[in-house]
Amino acid sequence: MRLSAALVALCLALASAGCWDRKEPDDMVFAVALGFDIDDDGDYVAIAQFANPVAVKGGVGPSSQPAGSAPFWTNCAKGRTPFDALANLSPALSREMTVSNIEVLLISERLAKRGIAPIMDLVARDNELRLAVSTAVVDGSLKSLLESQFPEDPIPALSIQRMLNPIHFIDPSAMSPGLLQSITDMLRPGQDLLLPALRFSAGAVSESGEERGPDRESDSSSNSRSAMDSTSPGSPVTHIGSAAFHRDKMIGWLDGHESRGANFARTRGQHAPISVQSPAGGLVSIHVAQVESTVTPRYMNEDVSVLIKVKVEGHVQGQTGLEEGQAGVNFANPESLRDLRSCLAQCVREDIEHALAKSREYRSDFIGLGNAVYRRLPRVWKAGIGGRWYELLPYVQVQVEVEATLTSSGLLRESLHY
Amino acid sequence: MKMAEAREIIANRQLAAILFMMRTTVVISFVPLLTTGNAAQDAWAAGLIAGLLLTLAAWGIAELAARYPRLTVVDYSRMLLGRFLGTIVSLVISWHFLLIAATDIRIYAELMRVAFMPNTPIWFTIVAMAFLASLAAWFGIEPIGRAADAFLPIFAAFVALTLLGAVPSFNVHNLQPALARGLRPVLSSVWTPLGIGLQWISAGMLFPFLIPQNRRVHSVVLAAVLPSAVLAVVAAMLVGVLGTDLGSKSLFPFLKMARSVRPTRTIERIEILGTVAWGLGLFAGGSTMVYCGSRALSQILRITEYRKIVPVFGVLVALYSMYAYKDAFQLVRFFRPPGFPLLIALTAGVPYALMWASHIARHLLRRRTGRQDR
Repeated sequence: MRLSAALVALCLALASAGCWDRKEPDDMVFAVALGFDIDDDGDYVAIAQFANPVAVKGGVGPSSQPAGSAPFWTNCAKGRTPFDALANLSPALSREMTVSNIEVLLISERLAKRGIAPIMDLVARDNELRLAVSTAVVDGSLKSLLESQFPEDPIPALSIQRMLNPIHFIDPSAMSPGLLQSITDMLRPGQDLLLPALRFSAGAVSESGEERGPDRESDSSSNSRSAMDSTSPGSPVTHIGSAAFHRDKMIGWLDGHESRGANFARTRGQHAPISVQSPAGGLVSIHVAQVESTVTPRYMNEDVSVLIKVKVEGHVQGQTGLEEGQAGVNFANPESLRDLRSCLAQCVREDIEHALAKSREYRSDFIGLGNAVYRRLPRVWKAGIGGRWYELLPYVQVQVEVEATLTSSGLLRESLHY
Repeated sequence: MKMAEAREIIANRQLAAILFMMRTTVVISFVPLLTTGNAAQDAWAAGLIAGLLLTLAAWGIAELAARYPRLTVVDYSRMLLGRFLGTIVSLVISWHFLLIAATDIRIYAELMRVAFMPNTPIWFTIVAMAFLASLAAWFGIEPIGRAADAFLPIFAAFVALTLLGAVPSFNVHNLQPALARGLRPVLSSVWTPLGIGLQWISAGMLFPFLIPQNRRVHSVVLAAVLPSAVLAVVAAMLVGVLGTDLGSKSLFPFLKMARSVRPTRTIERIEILGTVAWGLGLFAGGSTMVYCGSRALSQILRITEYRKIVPVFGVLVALYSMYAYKDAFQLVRFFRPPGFPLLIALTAGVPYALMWASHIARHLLRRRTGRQDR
């Protein structure tokens, strides 16, 4: 009996290795980036970027690849639903496609404005797609972006993923929250979605011909370099701020500073370079390395008001105005430090106020003021405020308090005299 | 046939390990705290209330069994309720063992089909798991107990590591506002997890085999407290990571959570930990249920050797698992309140209430007439 039982168990163990679901890596093709667009007929367009491991092997760069062995290629198909479009990629492939290894999910501006709920539904439902991937809205041709080569990586999806990942920590724009965070943001009462925006630079003309991405003239008057100028040389894509949504539809763009302000208010952006006016003349660059914020709603006399308290911590990274024997800022002087802290707090406050202004303009609560009311004042929310939150949003009084701290002046105690 | 001649023994610790894994496995599989009621962000509170009620139920089952320490529930049900009613109760209890084993296996098979092996026929997973459970039951409760001893650290570590991996994605805002909607939504999520506590009737079958005898009730009750605490933590973690909407609308929220997080850049995928833990728990639970069911049926049918029943019971488990539920939708519907909790209350709660009433009545009568107990 024991022998026969052992034999049957052995047979089951062998069978459980997966006769029906066996997948040979040699028979598969791995998508590393996935993009969704929508065409004029309302059909979904799926664009997949596939890695070619043979070409990438040994770290050979794309420039030295012989013809026909590029490290990646893209494929595009249409369908009436996102899944149809994805499935229609297969007929053009000789191997079985798998999307379990995708690094980024990109959405075109046009589709984002139409609504991303069907995409989110597919991703949340599918057994291969994961919610841990980075997501962004693309301003410009999504297909061209996925067909472009990047100087940093042979496979563009990896470059894009790194651009959107927290490893790219100095970017003042919104970091990709990941699909999981995006979906929970969309589903949370009184909260809207804010996705990072990527602009395809080569011939970057918005396909819809509508409002261009978050270009801002006001950036030139700002205190730090615009995010739009921070592209790596030769890179076809720039990380340019964020796309603001209301429910599942994109409403408009936020530039780098507005995105940064939104992230300061939501404790989501931890790192940012900010340049402030130096008390000794010129500019002082500060690397904000720590942000902590609380959003406290209040309800008095049937009016909702919100207090946003932000604590930022940074260190000095450099200064200008040292020409002709100028001493620069004396960091040992408490008064100079106080002035610098005050200027830093003012910059952060301005960023948050810019973000709030955009939130009111778009009636998109990407900062989550409504969610703070829902969480902290549930009875008020339930009593009717929740039902007409978006009507009230432009009129909600918001007070922003920023406490700035400078932790060090880098590896120099005082400025050098030239 | 009485169980006085029982030779098999397992440690209380081993039974506690079996019950712990069995409950944790089923309840983390589809997280009824989140998916069967409206507790939403307060699912953790529903878990604590369900745990408290389960502890009381476990105490009721164990205390009654402790009054008849050498008998199984089949023996004393017939003693307390009379041969006819007692046999019906015993048959219902046997059906409970069948129901638990078959449903647990079906849930696991659905998981395999939905998440990992969409092309593998579901019957294959069911037959494989039913066969393994029957094989273990055929060898007896002692090997099952030893296996539970061996599995428990791995099981606990894997569940803990999955939760730990999800910590970076935890957002406390998802748990707010806490307890703001009153008690009713919380209570709506209590009944199904409580009904799943039907697993504790296995303690009524295994009581005569437990050693040391003075710690038996303690172990059965402790086995109800620990998984309840774990489940409250799991529910809080799930809501914190997935949010209330995504959490409550997922078919397998625990797996969804594990697949949705990327703990580090080097350790990217952790769902296998939860799935392996689930498999281990299913083995411990399924085999115990097949063992208890076979034992119960052999006693009802007056068959000395329970092993003769094991293959039949195993086949019944496989058939029930395959044909009782048409698809995943029906499986989800089965657990929805009020149907499932009512079914359990009627088929397990009422018989136990009757047995307790009969026991107390007999006790009072005996005191009044001054007769000595047996």
